[in-house]
Parts: sequence; structure tokens; C-alpha cells
Amino acid sequence: MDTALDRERRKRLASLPFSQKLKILDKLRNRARVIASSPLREKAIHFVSIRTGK
Amino acid sequence: MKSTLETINRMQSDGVIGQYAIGGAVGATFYLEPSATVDVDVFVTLPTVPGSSLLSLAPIYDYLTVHGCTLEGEHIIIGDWPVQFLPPHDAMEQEALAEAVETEVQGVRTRVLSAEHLVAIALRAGRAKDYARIVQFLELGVADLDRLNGILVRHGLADKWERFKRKYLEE
Repeated sequence: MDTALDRERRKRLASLPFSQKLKILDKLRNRARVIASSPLREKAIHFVSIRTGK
Repeated sequence: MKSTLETINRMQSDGVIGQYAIGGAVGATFYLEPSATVDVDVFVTLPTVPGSSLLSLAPIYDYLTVHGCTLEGEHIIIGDWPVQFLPPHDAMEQEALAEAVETEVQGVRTRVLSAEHLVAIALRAGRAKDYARIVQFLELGVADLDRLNGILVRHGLADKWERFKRKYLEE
């Protein structure tokens, strides 16, 4: 649910300089890559495939 | 991202591409909170080949592969980022490119599509994530509604805008 606090946080992040926001995008992307290549994720996919049979 | 933009600027000064502007989620990040994305959409004009009306992205890929970039599906990896080059395919995208906003990223000059053109392009694309982004633009009040309306009318999106407003803004 979108609270007033969420909206305030979004507003604050939106007001950051573009360079700073792009650094955050870099970090988000790096984090996604780490998660995607993590052995834990591979196990999780395997676990899901056992559970679903797919 | 800085090195990505530096390379794109070098391509421009070397005449491989003409005017360019960042669109998509990265372009929207200029106005909104950062939201995770897998690639950078770059709208770009391509120099025309004398005697031909065909546009080709081949010179971009040739240039970048010579400079050590690698292809990955429909993207080319520049710096750390997969980049998709998008020649404008209609009048609205040509206008968006022409009217993009100048800015700088860590001292590197670049251009970003205007908030109003990003909204119009998102409306036309019409995916759930596009509609969510439009709502963010409106909530933050970063799009000039008169200018947006002009774009929507000029490019035949006024009806779709009305339907969007009824569905997402008036409930």
C-alpha cells in the first residue's frame, strides 16, 4: 500500500541530482547481477522446480 | 554509466550517430526516483548514406565492436550497461529527440527526453510498467500538462489519454 511515507520517500529520491540517481541505478543493477549469479538462486530455482515439477 | 555516456558522445563526435537522447527507465530517472532497469534506451538519429534512404544500425555496431564492446542479444554492452539504440520510427519520436533536455552526468554532457515525451511514449507503449510510470510523473507534477496535451493531440493519442485517465486517475 502506498503510504504518505512512501510518497515522501519517492519525492525525496526524485529530487536528487541525476548523477546521484544514476549511481543508485548502477548499484541496483550490480545487486541484481549478484543475485542472478548467486548459487543460492540456482538452488532456489532447483527447489521450485522440485516443488512444481517444472 | 559515466563511461557509457562518454563512449556514446565519442560516437557522436566521430560522426557515427547524430543527435541522441536517453529514454526509457533511465530517462525517466532524470525526473523520478531511480527504478531498477536492465538496459539503457538511447533514441538516436543516424547519418543517412548518400543515395540511400535506408537506415542501418550496422555502423554503430561496427564502431563499438572495434572499440571493444560486445553484442548481447538486441543490446550492445557499453561500459557496464547494455544499450539499445532506437532510431525514431515516427513523427512523435523525432519530435521527442529534437526537443530533448540537455544535462550533465558527472561532468559528461548528455540529453534526456522531456518528461512530456516520456509520458506520451509510455502511454503509447501501454504496458503495466509504462502506466505505473505515467502515474509517478503525474504524482510528482514534473510533466507540463498543457505541453503534454499538445503532444498527445498532435500524435493521435488524445483518446487513449482519456481512457487512461478514466481507468487510472479517476477511480
